Amino acid sequence: MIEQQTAAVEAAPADAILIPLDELAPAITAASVSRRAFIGFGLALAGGIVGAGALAQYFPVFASAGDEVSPIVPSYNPATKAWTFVVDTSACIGCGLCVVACKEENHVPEPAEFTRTWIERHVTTTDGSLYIDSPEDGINGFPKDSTAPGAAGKPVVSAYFQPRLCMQCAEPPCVGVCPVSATYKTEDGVVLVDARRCIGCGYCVTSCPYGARYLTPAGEDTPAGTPGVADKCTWCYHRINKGQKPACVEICPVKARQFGDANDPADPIAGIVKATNPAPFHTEWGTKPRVLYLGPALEEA
Amino acid sequence: MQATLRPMTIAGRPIPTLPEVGAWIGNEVRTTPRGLKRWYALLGVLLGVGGVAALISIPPGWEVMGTKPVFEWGLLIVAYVFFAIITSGLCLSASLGTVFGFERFLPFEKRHAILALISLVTAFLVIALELHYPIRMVFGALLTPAPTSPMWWMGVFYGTYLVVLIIEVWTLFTDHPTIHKYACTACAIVAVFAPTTLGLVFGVLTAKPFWYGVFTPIQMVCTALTAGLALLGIVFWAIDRFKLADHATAKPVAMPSIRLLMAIALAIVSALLIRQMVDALFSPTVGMREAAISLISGPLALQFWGARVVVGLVIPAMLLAMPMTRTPLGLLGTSTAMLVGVFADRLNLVEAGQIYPRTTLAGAVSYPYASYAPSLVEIGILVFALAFFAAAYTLAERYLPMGESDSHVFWPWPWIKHHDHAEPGDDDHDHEAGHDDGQSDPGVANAGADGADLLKRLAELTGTEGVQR
Amino acid sequence: MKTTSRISRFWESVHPRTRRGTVLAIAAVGAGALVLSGVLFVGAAIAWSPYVDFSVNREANAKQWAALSMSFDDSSVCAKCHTPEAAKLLAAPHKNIGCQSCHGALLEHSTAAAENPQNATATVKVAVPTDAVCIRCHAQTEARPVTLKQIVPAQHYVSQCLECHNPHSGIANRPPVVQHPLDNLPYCLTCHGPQGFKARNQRHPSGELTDKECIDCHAAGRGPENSQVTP
Repeated sequence: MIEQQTAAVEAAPADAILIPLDELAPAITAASVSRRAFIGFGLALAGGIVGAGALAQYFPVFASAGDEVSPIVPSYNPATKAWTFVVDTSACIGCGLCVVACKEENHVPEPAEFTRTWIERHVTTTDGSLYIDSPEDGINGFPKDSTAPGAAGKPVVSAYFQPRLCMQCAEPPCVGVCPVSATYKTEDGVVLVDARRCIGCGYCVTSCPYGARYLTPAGEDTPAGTPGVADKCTWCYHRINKGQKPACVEICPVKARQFGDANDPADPIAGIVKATNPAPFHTEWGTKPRVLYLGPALEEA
Repeated sequence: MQATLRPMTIAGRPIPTLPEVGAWIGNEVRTTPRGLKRWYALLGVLLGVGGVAALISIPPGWEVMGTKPVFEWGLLIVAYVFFAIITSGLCLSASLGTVFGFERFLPFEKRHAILALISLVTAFLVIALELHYPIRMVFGALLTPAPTSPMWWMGVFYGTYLVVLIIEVWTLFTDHPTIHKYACTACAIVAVFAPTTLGLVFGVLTAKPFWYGVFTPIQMVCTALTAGLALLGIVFWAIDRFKLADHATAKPVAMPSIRLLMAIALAIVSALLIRQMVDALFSPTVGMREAAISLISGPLALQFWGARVVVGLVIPAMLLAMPMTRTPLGLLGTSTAMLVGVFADRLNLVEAGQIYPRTTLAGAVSYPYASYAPSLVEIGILVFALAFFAAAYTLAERYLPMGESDSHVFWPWPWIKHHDHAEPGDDDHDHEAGHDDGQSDPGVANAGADGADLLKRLAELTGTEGVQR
Repeated sequence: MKTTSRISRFWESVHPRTRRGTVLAIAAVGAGALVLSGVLFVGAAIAWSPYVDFSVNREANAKQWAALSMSFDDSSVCAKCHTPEAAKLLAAPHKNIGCQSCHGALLEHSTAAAENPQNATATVKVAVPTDAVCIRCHAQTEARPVTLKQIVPAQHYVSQCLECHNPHSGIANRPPVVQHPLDNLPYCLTCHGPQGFKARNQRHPSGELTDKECIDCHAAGRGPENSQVTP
């Protein structure tokens, strides 16, 4: 080594600046130490990730579909379902039974401002004005005349009832804007909220163009048992996977709400859709709503 | 028996014992000027009242807020946005000095950093009280990130902002000039991105046509600048009035700089507001017209015309334009008015966006407008936040060295010739040697060597040598 | 043999300090990897655990929603036991209406009845619906389609709806007609007013009526039996 160094010194050109190794050594050592530390750190990081992945294979901590978190839903394959919801606004009589049934079935809080579904009455008067009223969501039916301010006394040209619920949009804005990914879309197309993760910021409530969401108030009687989290219509997710219909569909006396699995040949819903040709409702916000409407609601601007 | 105990130390500094702390507090109470005592008393009362409101709101009962499903974002969101944009505005306006090296903006340096940090902490305090489960947000945002959510990005950027601000403030008061320079630059960059994401939180919602669009983030950044400048104006009035650290440069250097920037900011913000109103009034989108009408002649007319336009834009413009009011007191008036205007502007934005609901919910609509009135608890929390901000800054101003430091002038563009007033080869830390060139203006004798230099430069630049402002 | 001797010769040629450094470095990297993998694993276990509040696990949450308890049953199961009513309903105007629309949520009842058909009456929410149930649909309201039979409750016979109407069969019995002379009587509306025991039906002229108008019409022979009264 020393012979090599001496040879190198002698072979150097005349104007070469020779820096003794002792002076350079600390700098080089420092640089190479930090370089080595960096590489070592990178290897440790890589090793850690690989190790964690390997451990996860041997110890199944990622809960799988077969987990007994809650009673297993027997033989329900969400991917095969094409849930279809049709609302006929020419048939609705505004009795409000759907709102009552929903509140009872889903333990929705009692005050009228918290609701998963509601009915609006749209009244057009002779002067072309549109008056919309929804007294307590229509839960007790509607009074004889429109209660919207300014509608009193005006002769009515046309009027109809408009049941409303979550559209379970194909491109839901509420899912996109949640900052903690608490709301999500299931394989069968229903948008649900994980009440354990929701922080109650209300972003999803303001982002819904159809006004389908709300934040639960205080009290134990809330759908997820938690106050201050987002809640919305789930198409009675706990009923449809057992072959039942959503409560509002079940109870509607005039079949203004219809529900079924379009993929099931025994289900009449596919035939109904084909025969009546319902359409999505207010698509201008680009969310691709999936509740199909019939009747005067579609003609409204 | 009474041996002298060696005091415990941390990082070389002794930890004071309780009696020492008590004695120090007693001394402080004795020597505090009476006016300051009254100010502390006022802040104490407000903190108490507001603190009670904050405590009431903590259990997730949530009947105490005035928000409801049709009007979910209320006064606390407005307060959060207000404090968040003050932070960004402070860094934006101070970056002209700390990052781009314009010397006339250098007096902002220390104050803006402390103010920005306190403002951001206040903003986080308000949002922690507004959210129903703030702890879940910390875990949720990290474990289950949502890159599609502007609110998530806002959290990321403001979280980063907090870290960078802490670094900036720490290095400012503990002589790490290089790190401080880089922290200031990072701060300036984040100060543009953070309010942009905050604006995008509103701007991506097609459900609320008044909020939707690209101009909401732009307006957020511009009103941020306005708010930051307004706060600096109030602070520098206080510096001049109460003869706080480095008050010599406050009146001649800082105030004209603030006024200049305020004029520019007012012009931009006015133009944006006019554009927004005209666009909303003539928009074919349902909801836009109604929102604009609610602001111009509807329920929000008072807070639009009164608070936003007259108090927030017209009065500051007049006060800035008239030579008679270009005084420290005039600046205080201008700044207060502008700050009120910015708050009103955020309130208008949040309310007008939600006031025309696309759906009636449970007859909760006082047709055609939804109604919202902040509850006492919400107002109490706002009072608490303001008092906390004022108290924190008062303490910082009193007990931290706020004089201008040496760690500035970071000029990152080498191809642009930067005129440095120091001679080449001069050590930046050599101020104690003094530049006794005999040109110190007698009227600003206490400016110190550095301040005298600054005044000299300014005089040369503006051709007002020998003229005392 | 050759390999091991080559390895040992290489090992000999390396400086002892370098040898020690290499071993330490590998040990450090290995230890770091081990610790980090443990930490990451535990973190992932917590994050994906279905039992933790802020877990990432969506399956568990969807299952929770899917496993909630129901209150309403499928109305078609009622026919299994209540055949007469179900049969009548098939012919009635109410034939498309599920039993629960009037009788409330019946899952508890159908479950109890499936176990013990004899002793399940206590679980029925609404055995006999009140007038409010009928009026909810049948009150005359703006925007109701004309195909629905609507009444103005104040002008309709005010007694129990079920006194005259059978919703299962759709048969509405007329209220009993009592003939009485028209002189020596108190003011007609005393008994026949909206709150009276025999309210005017809705084909009856409404508004302010005097005794003279009542007597004129009814003396001419018009009455409940004769429907030629024009409102």
